[in-house]
Amino acid sequence: MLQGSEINKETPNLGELYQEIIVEHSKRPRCKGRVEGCQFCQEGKNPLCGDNITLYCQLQSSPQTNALPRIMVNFEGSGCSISQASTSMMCQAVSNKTVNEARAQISKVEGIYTGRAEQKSEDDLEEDVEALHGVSKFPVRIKCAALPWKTLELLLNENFDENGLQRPESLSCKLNEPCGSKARKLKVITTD
Amino acid sequence: MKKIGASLRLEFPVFAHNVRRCADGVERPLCYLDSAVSTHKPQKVIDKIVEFMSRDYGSVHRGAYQLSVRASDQYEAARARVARFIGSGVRAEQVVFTRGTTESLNLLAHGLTETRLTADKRIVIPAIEHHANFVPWQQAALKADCEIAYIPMCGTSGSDLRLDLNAAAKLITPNTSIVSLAHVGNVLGQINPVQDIAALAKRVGALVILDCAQSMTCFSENPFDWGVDAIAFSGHKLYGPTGIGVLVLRPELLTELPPLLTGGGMISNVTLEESTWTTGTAKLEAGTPPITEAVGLAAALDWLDDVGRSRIHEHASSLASKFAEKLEKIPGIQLFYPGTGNETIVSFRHAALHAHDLATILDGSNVAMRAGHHCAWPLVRQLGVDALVRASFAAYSDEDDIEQAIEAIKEATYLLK
Ligand SMILES: Cc1ncc(COP(=O)(O)O)c(C=O)c1O
Repeated sequence: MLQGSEINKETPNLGELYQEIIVEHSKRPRCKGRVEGCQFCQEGKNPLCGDNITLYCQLQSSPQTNALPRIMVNFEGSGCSISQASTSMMCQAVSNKTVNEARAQISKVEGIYTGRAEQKSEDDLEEDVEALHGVSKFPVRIKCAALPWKTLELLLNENFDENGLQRPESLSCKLNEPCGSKARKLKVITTD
Repeated sequence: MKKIGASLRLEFPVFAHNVRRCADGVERPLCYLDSAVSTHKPQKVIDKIVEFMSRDYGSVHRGAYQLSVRASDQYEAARARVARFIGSGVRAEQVVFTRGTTESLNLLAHGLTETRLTADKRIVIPAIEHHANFVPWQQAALKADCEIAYIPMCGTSGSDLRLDLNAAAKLITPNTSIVSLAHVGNVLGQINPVQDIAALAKRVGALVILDCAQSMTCFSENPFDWGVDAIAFSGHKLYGPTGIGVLVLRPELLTELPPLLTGGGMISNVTLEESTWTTGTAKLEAGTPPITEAVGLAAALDWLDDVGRSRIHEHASSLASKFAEKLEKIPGIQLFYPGTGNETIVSFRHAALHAHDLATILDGSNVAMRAGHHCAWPLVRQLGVDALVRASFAAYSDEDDIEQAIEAIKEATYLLK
């Protein structure tokens, strides 16, 4: 052994990060696929790692005219198993919720993946998202788990007021047309 | 001759401080395979920095007192040391200290936008560059509204992972004013044909800029002998401290370049109406420079040349080949490795295991490798993947690192099956 070596504290157990539910969601994501004609979309990225998602959000039509709108969220994306599983679990968890119920879910889950909320054992989980607790032991991976939740938070705040009603100025877009960029076009030259 | 490999680790205190008991109860040494991002520091460099700060520290060029004189002497001696490191014929007056390669390249792109770029001109860079040698030129082209052309690779696997010289010859047209490229690629580890590309650029009178961030640890040829006009590199990849980089310029180019930063130390006169710049390297070194860091860099260069750059290259590239050979045998692994035997870097991915997951699992076995796009997003996209894991080898790497890493990768693929 090296002279004067110090044994650092123990490595957190990888099993806590890669719980079965998480691995399962990453391999068989729910709510995945682009929704044509969705009303709101928002891209989310971890620029340093390249994790990348787009959330597609629609409002459910409701039989009662004055009921609060309920959302449905789907996604497309690529990235590590934590970011993709977290997105899959989120879409499942917030679908059919009102905007403010979804917001409450976002802050609850933030407590889970940052480790502020109390931890439950793998057998006592009520919801899949609770499996994100293990992420808190791996600080560099928190941003992977947080990506969809932060993205949804932004989407909701941009388009809905604090009462969960659509902002009058929020324009639901037609068919996710690529946003027209006014930036000057780069003159790129290629050989083909 | 100085030691190399595992026995050299005794000179690097970081290894003694980072032995770790892993979750399986096994104590594992630090297997550091991320030296392409940044190398660790030998005790000699650490001692020199502590000694300088303890005994000789003062700000430079301003004080009449002894300490300032001593610090100035050491700062200027560091500049001369850098010149000598690059090659005979390079003078200290050509060496500008910056905070790193990124700042050096930004300084060039910013200055040349003013002095050379107009809408009819062209910039040529490889499409696979590190963002540090990509984004500044892309932004310069936007600002000047000029053309930018990207040199492609010959292909996306194996020995095709190299710059396409035929394409380069077509793209470097008479209206090209700047050609900028890396000497060694930071993801594929490929050694670019700098002399050929420089010759193409010289034919049309274009400036040639070389990003030597990855090459200075292994190569001692003087790029100015190949017709290169400016080179950039960082201290922290050369066993030296962070916060110090170098920009070396042909004397005419130093005269031509306007400053990126203005302020103290770079003026010849300031009135309420206007300011004029001083000449020489000082013009490009506004503010209090990284004095301690420059002294540390000089110590690192001494250390590096003691070990020997070509020896490090031979050692690290042979380890990379052995690692690639073993890695390739693991089911599901795809290599992005040109395999000429000269690379010191091996990038790879696993078919079913995302690069970030793999890197986290490897950390569980005290194996430090980087996962992601490695600041070369356009390259990673061209390879048709979203992230890669990269192993890079250095003077203190050895066969035990290969074993520990291969073992950990095998376990990882098993864990997430
Ligand atoms: C090829 C290349 N160019 C530029 C850089 C940027 O260097 P720095 O971050 O020290 O400015 C790096 C290192 O990350 C690199 O590998």
